[in-house]
Amino acid sequence: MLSLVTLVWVVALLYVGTTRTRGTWPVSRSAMFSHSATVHVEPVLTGTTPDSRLVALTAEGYGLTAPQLRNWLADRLGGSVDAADRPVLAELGRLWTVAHPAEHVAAVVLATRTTPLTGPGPAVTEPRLRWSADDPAA
Amino acid sequence: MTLLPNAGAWRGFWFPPAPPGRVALLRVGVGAYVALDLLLGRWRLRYGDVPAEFYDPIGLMQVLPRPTGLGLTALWAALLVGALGVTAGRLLRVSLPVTAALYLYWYASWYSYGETSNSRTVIAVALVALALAGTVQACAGWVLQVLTVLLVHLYLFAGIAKLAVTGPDWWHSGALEWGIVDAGTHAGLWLLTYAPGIVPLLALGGLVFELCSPVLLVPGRARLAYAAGAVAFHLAGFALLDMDFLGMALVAVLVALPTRRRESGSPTGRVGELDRSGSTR
Repeated sequence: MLSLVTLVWVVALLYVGTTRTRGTWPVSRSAMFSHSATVHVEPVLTGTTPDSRLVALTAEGYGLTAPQLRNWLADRLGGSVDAADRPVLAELGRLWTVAHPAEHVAAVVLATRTTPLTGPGPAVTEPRLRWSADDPAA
Repeated sequence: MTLLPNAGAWRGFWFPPAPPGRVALLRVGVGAYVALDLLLGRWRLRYGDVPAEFYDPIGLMQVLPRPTGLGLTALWAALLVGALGVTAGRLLRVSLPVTAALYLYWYASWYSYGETSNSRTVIAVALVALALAGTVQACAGWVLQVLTVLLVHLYLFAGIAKLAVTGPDWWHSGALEWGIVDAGTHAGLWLLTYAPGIVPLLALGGLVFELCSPVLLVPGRARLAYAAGAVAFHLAGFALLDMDFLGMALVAVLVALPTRRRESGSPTGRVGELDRSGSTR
């Protein structure tokens, strides 16, 4: 019996090891830090309340870790960001308001902070997409 | 399994002789790790209140319920009791399989929030292997061999993935620098700022370490040395990147300890060395 279990497990290990399969835990492999990089790009979410107060929409504020929120965004936005992605920001604004009723979010801006990995250059933050409850298409 | 073309070699590899005391030591170490992991990871209880929109179930979690609220707290408490039972060697026929199943469930649910990690894979498999082996003494070697092969697999394929994705220049490709900027500790960021030339050398050391993992399959001092390397590797990862893979280091040490006196390289043994019955002397 244990031999059969072992055989199945070894086949599963080899399959996962030779394919780029995700979400197969506890039969898994690590591809962590496999990619080369010259810059580090981090999403930055900022909300605006109706009284024009700015609120940092952090991963912790949603109850998540930074990689979890980043992966969630990447799954929904894909490789590029365009106007069709505004509902994602609307959903993030709504979820923030549910979790933090005192900070009703009426607009959300997604920006990226790019940090060079070599040299002393400063990090650069650029807005990518904006959603506003007043003008959802703007 | 007689269906295999070379059943003798298969059994010889997967079911080597090993003192039951070695597996008992592994059980105590893994059980204590799980208990500590739960106590230090109490912050994960907050996931019972995270909006369901962030939940993307992996594997069996697609058919199992998402633990929330009091259910998550109850799961945590039951798992802690089970882990303490495993550590203390109490009711092992129940505590081992229950702890293994709940540990898989606990982490599968947490990994369903978008970030799967290998940091607890070895511990989870150790619990499952211990539960499957039960108290059958003939299976002691199987448990150790399964974990040895798993460690070889995880390290080796991690190294191969780096070479496959980036190539032999991976170690100075900025990958480790990216990791430090992304999740580095104060020590990691200090190193990157004031001694950036050391970072690629650390990456090269890590890559060589991962690719050398088959050494774990060779009994003797080389395996012990590799386990020591695993401790250093994961301590460095913890110190620079806040990555807790210390469970892997723990299991690497526990499987690499000599199973027979001759493996230590000393024909007469040493004080404190485990003998075949698993006791110390």
